[in-house]
Amino acid sequence: MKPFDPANNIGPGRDELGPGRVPDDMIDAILDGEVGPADSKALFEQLRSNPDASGDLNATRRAIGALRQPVDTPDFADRVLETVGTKRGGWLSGRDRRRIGFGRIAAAAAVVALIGGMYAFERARPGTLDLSERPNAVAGLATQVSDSSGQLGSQLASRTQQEVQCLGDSAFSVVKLFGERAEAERGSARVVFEWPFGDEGEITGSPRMIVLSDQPVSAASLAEQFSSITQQAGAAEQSLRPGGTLERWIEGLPKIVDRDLIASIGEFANSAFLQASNRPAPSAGVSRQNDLGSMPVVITLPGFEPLDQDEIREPE
Amino acid sequence: MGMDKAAEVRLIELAVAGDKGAASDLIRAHQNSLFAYMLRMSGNPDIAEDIVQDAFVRVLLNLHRFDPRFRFSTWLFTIAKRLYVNAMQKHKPLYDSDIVGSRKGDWDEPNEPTLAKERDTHARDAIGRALQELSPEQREIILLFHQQEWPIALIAEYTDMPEGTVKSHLHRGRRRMRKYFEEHESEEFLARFSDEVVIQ
Repeated sequence: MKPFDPANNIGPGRDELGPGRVPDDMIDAILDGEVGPADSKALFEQLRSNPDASGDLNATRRAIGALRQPVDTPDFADRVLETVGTKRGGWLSGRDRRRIGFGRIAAAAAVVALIGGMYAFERARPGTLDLSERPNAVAGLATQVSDSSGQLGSQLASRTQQEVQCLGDSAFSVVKLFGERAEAERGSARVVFEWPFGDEGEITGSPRMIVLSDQPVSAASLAEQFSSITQQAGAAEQSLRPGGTLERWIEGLPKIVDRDLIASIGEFANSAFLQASNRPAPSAGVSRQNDLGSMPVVITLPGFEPLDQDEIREPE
Repeated sequence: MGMDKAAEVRLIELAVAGDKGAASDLIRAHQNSLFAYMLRMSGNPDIAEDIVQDAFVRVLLNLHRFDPRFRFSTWLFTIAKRLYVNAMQKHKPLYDSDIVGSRKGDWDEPNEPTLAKERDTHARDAIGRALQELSPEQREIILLFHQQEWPIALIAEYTDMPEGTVKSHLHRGRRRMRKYFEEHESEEFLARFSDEVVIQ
């Protein structure tokens, strides 16, 4: 349908309507809000001299006005929140959130202090902290990223990276240090990397997937999240192709995820793993093949329980 | 069309983090528009209520997946629409008149508030019947454009139709509604809905 052109008097089909008739296109243009102030004056002049058209316009406006009649809406908030709270395990009050935030900061600070202490101790007594015989090094890799919403996590990740770089060849030992089991704490954040591995078990590129989670992570949920993210963002999908990079993957992440934080974690993990890859291939307990075609690498916060082997399982 | 986008994104982030107050604000910011839309689409307040509640539950449980590049309301309405389609496969549309008509009053003489209520009931019935005259596509587009005040481009994206097709449904639907009201309702009845300048 051609748009109405007020400069050309009336719209298409004018000849068929007979003299003085105003086409429906004109009424539609007014009701669609497509007539500017300059044109509307001319149109309304025309309508004044055309009772049929102005009657149609008025009648349609009244019909539209009926649609805008207010509706008595029940309040859904309480019942929805109750249902959602039951399914997701409760809601947090403002006080709870502040308490958790403080707990995260305290945990992160403790980790930084621990790493610093380890570094100083290793410098004073080289070799004392060589934990190279411990199994499952990759599964126990830990970093102190604990705040997924602010700058704290980013700063801590950066600090850790610096610490690891200072340690040079002994970096792998530090990486493995946090393979120690510790008592689990509810709400602990986990960072899961999905890393491409070659046939020999070597790391072949940047992480393809990074997930922040406060729940046990299964391969099935990894696959689901990965699928969800790639559906939302073409860039993430692009990074899966040959030549894809961590940067492009990060670019494709939903904005809810703190991209700076993920980038810092990625850089740190890249650095740590590149150093580690000069050593025998990781034989982590979590290295079972999943449906993504490679193995997830789990980075567990220090002080929190690492993933159990059975938490990484094949999708049902 | 709702609250400021930045404020809404902030509410979503807080709700994702488990903030009950933020989730509550998010629901209350959208419940009127979604319920009004679903009520007009389904013609049945009970079905509309079930759909709206279920839609909010699903949205909140999956809020971490929301991509803030898109409109929250579009996402919410899309989920509600899926639920509506499912519900319509189970129920035949039942307009307010069927329900209201079944509620028998026990008064002797109607007083003024009762008469006003009766007029409101009549208005709801008439709107419901007029919408029932439209095809599902026309009804949906008419409501999104005139009740929800969505722009044509957004409706086209939401319905996955070209803008020209959206306009075509809109124009035809409007004419059918006008015709229905002209044929079935008095001038006096229609005049109460117009708050715009009437050209005489």
